[in-house]
Amino acid sequence: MTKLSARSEAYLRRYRGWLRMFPNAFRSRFADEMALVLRDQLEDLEERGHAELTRDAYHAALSDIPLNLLQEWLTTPPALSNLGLTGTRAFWYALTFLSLLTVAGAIFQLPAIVAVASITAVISVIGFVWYQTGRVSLTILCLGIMIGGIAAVMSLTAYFPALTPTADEAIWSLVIGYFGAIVPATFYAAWLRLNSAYYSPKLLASLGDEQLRKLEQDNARKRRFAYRGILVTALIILIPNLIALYDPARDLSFISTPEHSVPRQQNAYYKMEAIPLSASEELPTQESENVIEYIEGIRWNPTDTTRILSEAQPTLQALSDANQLAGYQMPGLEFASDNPSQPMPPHAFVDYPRYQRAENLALLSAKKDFLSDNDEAGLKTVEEILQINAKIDASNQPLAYHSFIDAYQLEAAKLLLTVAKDEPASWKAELKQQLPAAKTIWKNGSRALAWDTLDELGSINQGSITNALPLPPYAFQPNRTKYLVAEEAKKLIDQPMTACADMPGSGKPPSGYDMPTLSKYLTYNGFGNEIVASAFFETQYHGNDCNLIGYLGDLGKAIE
Amino acid sequence: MRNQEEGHHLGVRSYAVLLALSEGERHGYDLMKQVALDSDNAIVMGPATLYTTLKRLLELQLIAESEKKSDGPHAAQRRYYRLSSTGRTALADELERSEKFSSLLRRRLA
Repeated sequence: MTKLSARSEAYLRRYRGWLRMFPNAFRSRFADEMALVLRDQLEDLEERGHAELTRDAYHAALSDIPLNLLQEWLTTPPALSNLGLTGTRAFWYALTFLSLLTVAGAIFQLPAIVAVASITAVISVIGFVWYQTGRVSLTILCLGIMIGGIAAVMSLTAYFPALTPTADEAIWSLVIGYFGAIVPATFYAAWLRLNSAYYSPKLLASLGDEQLRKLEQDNARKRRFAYRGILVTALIILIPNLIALYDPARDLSFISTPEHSVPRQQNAYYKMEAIPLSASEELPTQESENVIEYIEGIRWNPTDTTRILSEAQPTLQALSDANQLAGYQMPGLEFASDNPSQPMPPHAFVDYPRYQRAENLALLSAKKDFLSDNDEAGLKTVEEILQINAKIDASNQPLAYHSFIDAYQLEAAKLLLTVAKDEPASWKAELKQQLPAAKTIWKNGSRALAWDTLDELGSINQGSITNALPLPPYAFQPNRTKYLVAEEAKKLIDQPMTACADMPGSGKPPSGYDMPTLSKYLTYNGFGNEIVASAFFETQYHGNDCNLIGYLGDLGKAIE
Repeated sequence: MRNQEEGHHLGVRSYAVLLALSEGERHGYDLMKQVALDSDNAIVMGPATLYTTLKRLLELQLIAESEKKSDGPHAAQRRYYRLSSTGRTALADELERSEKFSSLLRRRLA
């Protein structure tokens, strides 16, 4: 007997450690013998003066473990056998549970990814159980379990808001988890496979020293190849991530600041704010447009919008009643009723359509509040809004919120028409009362445009988060422009009426707009053109409204 | 090793082990080398594969633990295995089956 080198002894100790993973019955019967076989091999190699090959023998023995380990665990009755469960059956129960979990995740959070992952996992395990064991089966099994595991974890994080990733983070995490784990593992497995051929006892016995030396050189070359492969793979994975880290949109540190202490799901808004305008200069035009088309294709479903609006009133009442009964404590409902722009809490996923309706209801409810001050005129306006919306939806026109403005404008125009048409003294007093209401209607209508734009952005972002749409960070960029325009509009609306003096209705941009900034988008992409055009439209519109308000004011003075 | 408990089919590794034991009693490393030698290096078994295979064959009573003890180092851990009469029959059955298929194949290819 030759005393083993320290390195071989270390290999042997490690190998014994791995053998502890086998079921107790198998381990107690065979582990010593298995270790002895490896010891014999290591001794054999060292005695022949090829200590370098001991590492290969060790790795080959290691690579031989996983499949047999699984096989033993699957065929060894566990202690649960007292309950009538075999290891195989318990495994299937666990698999069923995992599948249900991932399918639930598919329904509630990450549809495509989790569905694919769970199916892959199930098929892989079935493939392993059904067919004879082999390295291919093992690779597929490991792949499936890994994907299934990642998917299950991703699904579970949906229920812990602090951990819930945004859409692009989710995608990145999955990609990193997938390639970061699978690719190096595959390379490592390939490396073990390449080297495992050398430990063949017969091969070793038949080779002379010179040939063995060549084998060692060849072995080293292959190992270098494998290391380079792992390095290149790591770089492929790391480089885009490092680039992404430099993207200001991914700087989430501000979320934890007191003024922005919001649930993590909301951070899409703040992400938009965090992107400097200069970042948009690198926007790929065509890709942005494609993303916009994609988003709007999902966002605007006229049939669905009509259905939601038709259900709005009764559902509003039901929601209100339910909230009152629950003392505003019922999970999910309070979000919808109190703050429509809040993102969905995870537990609201269980009734997404209801929540979606509730959000719309709450929006209508907010509008109803200020309209209620105008009594019949307000309620009539609501009806008109619904009618106009229905018409717009029926004609497949997007941007249904424009109809709100139309309705308010219509209401104000009606009052104007009344003034122009009839001037009986008996109506003057009534008109004097109605003119402030008309102004309020106009102002709130304009604010509604701004808010609706913000809500729309919230919906788009929320949709991208909850549906895990594969949106790259720059997909938010055009919406950010819209967001800025809406914010500008809000500021203008809230300015004192004297601001109208600066806007004679000639189409001159209102002073509140940062036109040079907005104009930058004109040169960047098609969507920029659209935004700038829409900004001019808003300006013109605002100017006209100033005229309208001024006209109404003049009329009021005349009436007095 | 599907259906191995029913004795319908044994995997190629199991037959390789039975074949290696047909010449006499062997211990683990010896068995591993013999399998590689017999198969012209086509079947290379690691320790884990070898002993999961041995476990199945022991359960099916195709092999048995030998009384032989090693007088070398690690004698306490080193165990020898031998072919049982059932194992010999299984090998003979396999030989017969192989010859039958071979002759059938020869006739069809002729």
